[in-house]
Amino acid sequence: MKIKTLLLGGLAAFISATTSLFAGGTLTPTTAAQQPIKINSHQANVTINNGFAQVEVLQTFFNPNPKDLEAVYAFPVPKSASLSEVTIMNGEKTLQGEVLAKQDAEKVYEEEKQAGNDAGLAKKNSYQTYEFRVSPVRANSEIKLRFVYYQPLEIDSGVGRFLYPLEDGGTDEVAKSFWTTNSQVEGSLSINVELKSAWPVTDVRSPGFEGAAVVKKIAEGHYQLTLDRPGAKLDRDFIFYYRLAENLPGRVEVIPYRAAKDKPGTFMMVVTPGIDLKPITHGADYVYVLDVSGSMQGKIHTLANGVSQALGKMRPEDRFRIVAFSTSAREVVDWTPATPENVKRAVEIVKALQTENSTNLYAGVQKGLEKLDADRATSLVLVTDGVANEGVVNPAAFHKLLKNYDIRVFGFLMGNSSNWPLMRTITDATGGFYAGVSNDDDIVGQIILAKSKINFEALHDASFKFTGARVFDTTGDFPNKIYRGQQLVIFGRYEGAGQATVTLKAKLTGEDKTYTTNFNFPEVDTDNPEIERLWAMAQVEQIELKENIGVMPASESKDAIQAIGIAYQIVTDHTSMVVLDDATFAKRGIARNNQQRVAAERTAQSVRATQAPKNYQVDAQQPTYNAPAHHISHGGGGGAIDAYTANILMALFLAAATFYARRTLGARSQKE
Amino acid sequence: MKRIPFLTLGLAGLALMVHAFPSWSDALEMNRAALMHGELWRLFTGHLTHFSADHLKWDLVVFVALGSLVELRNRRHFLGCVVGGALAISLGVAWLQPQFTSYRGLSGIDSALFGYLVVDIWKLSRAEGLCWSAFAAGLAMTLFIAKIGFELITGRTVFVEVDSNFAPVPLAHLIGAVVGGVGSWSLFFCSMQQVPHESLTDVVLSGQGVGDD
Repeated sequence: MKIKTLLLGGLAAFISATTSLFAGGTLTPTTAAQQPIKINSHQANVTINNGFAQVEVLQTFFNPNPKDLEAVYAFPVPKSASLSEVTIMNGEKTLQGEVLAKQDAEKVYEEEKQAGNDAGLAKKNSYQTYEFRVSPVRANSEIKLRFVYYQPLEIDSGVGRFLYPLEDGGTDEVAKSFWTTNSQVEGSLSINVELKSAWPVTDVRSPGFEGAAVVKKIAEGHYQLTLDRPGAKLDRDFIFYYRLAENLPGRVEVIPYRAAKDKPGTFMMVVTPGIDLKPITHGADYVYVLDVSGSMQGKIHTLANGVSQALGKMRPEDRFRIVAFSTSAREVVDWTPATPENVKRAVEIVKALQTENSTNLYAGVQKGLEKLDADRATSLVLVTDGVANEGVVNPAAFHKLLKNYDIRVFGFLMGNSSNWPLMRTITDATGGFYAGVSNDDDIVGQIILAKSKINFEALHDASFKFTGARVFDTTGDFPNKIYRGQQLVIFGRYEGAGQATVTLKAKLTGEDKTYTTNFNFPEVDTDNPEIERLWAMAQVEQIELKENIGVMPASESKDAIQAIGIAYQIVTDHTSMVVLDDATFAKRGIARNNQQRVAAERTAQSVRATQAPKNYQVDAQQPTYNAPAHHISHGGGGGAIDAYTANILMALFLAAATFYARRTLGARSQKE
Repeated sequence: MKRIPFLTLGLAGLALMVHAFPSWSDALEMNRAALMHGELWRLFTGHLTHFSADHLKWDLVVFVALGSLVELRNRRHFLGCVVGGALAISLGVAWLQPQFTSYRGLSGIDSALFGYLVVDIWKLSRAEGLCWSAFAAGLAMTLFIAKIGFELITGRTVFVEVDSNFAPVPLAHLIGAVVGGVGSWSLFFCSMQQVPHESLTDVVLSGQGVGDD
């Protein structure tokens, strides 16, 4: 139990020790003679409501040079974010964004830029960065950039986590050699969070900013946090945790959106299972696959210390094996029972590890899969900070390799801009899970959450099925495994209205389990138009996964993503947002689809801002789950008596009571 | 009235009430940061807070059983176990277990009550020449200390019941048992120079506790 926690703890500490090579900020070519564009102010307004976050970023740039320049701003891509709105305020002129096919948007931007007209461009560089270009920023003048993205949020074991990524993971070597980043904010840097939860929230915190952040509790589930960091750099992530109250029910929540009866509806279903999953008490095997490539230099001592401490706490019935990889992979420690002597020996070996060369992730995983014992449950814990750049790098090859093994992969991804599409492919093949860990994360909390999944039974062969309504284009409805505390987010579309049924079928320790929920799809519900963009991004990610595992050709995937990106106006790898004034859009004949979407979203947002958070639970009358949702508290210790000890103490109570009674009766009879 | 262990029942009721209102638990738990800000009451009130219903359940059952026994035996001694145990455990955890940001649970005080009873039975048995009960009491204390020692050294709990809501703190049990045991032991020497102990049945049958001040 605690043993694996500590082992994971060491690894997570190792993850947390990564250093920043880049940060969110303006980019200047390394050879440029002019001064970099300055960031005069940076403000992020975050609203967490109805299971997703809306992030609005307002920035002011200043060109200190005597000539006009193009401003380039980049920041790490938040996971599953759908960039939906970009506005540029250049003097009295306001430019707005429309999403086009990537090459079309770039062409329009370049043409306008060459003509000396005001224009902007927002594009996505794979999983690494969002890049914003604004041209021109007039000499000695300011320009304002505003952008908005939406992001679905999951609550794990009663703890919600929102990450505003600013620290760059340094995974893009080409960009690193080409650009110089200016992340210094000259004036105010502020982050404002508004949390509106339909469920009671007992605690909120932003690790590392406890002293600087001002938290105000408005109501039971309504908090506001304000953080001002004047003169700070955009090189440190902001993480916001919120903890729901204990003993909340296992539940199913459905957030619908349907503009009109004659159009299909969209929904986001959030399933928080309340299932009594038991701890795994028998010994298990753990393979630790550790990245010791060149980028780990300076961190290897932290790795050694973390793993050493963790190894020292393992259970003797557990076995472990350690594999290290860089250009090639090698076994550092063979299968070893976690006895004190073996642990001591392994600690010395791990402490002697040295960093070297590039990252051959495939070789590391392949080596980790050797020598598996079919009679023992095995987990592979993969810790990496880099992007595979040596040997086999095709995600489909990873998927094919791992599909052949009965093993769970738990991935820990270091920092921002890490290759999460590849890690998702790897964990998807084995029914495992992965977690990104920021340098500013609450490491203890992350460890406890990971432990809660690894050390407890999981539901197997899990799938959701909808009946009673025509539901289509779903994502997330075949989770395969469901771990303790895990919340599942399912997106889909529907036609018609009225009652529908969703059934979760799964196996628990070989026994079939079925959980059924009945609910109604509304004919019209316009409270949350953002659900469409979130659904669209989930579709895009599903298509990317299919491409990664080799079941969809790249050309087909590109066409599908492009079509979705344009239809729902989100920035993807194949769509970008060009930012122009109204006249230029009209002159070029570009439809204002995004303008209409933004108008609908802003109307809904202004209504929601005045309302209390709405509870979307659909199974309150007929609960789907009997047990409460799993809830976790982090960092706390407790004096606890388990059932066995309690029984022994109760026996002592009876013995003591009998003893006192006999003694007294004996004394009485003697007196008489 | 003295036949009712009202202090035990009152504290048990308080623990239940605190658990019913989660915000109370946050305000009363033994929290390291809050202690540094001068909220010293948490040294005592933290023991009435719990992380979950499962956590509360057995802690409370054992507290009511052992607490009633000790309180009926001697209310002043019961208070000594509760107050002394609470203070010693909180300070011990704060000082010796820096990894914990907070501490909750009645079980440390349960251990103090356990320590008190076992030593009390042992010393009475010794005084009256009851070898078997003296041996049983000694064995119970030895096994309890051994269990805690094992948990402290190995970091594992003897009876595996994993609850990821919090990490168990065997040190709290050790401190509690020592406070209860030493308290009972020191009273033994005091009582040798003063009055003989009254018995539980004296209290129950007569309706008044000889030593109950």
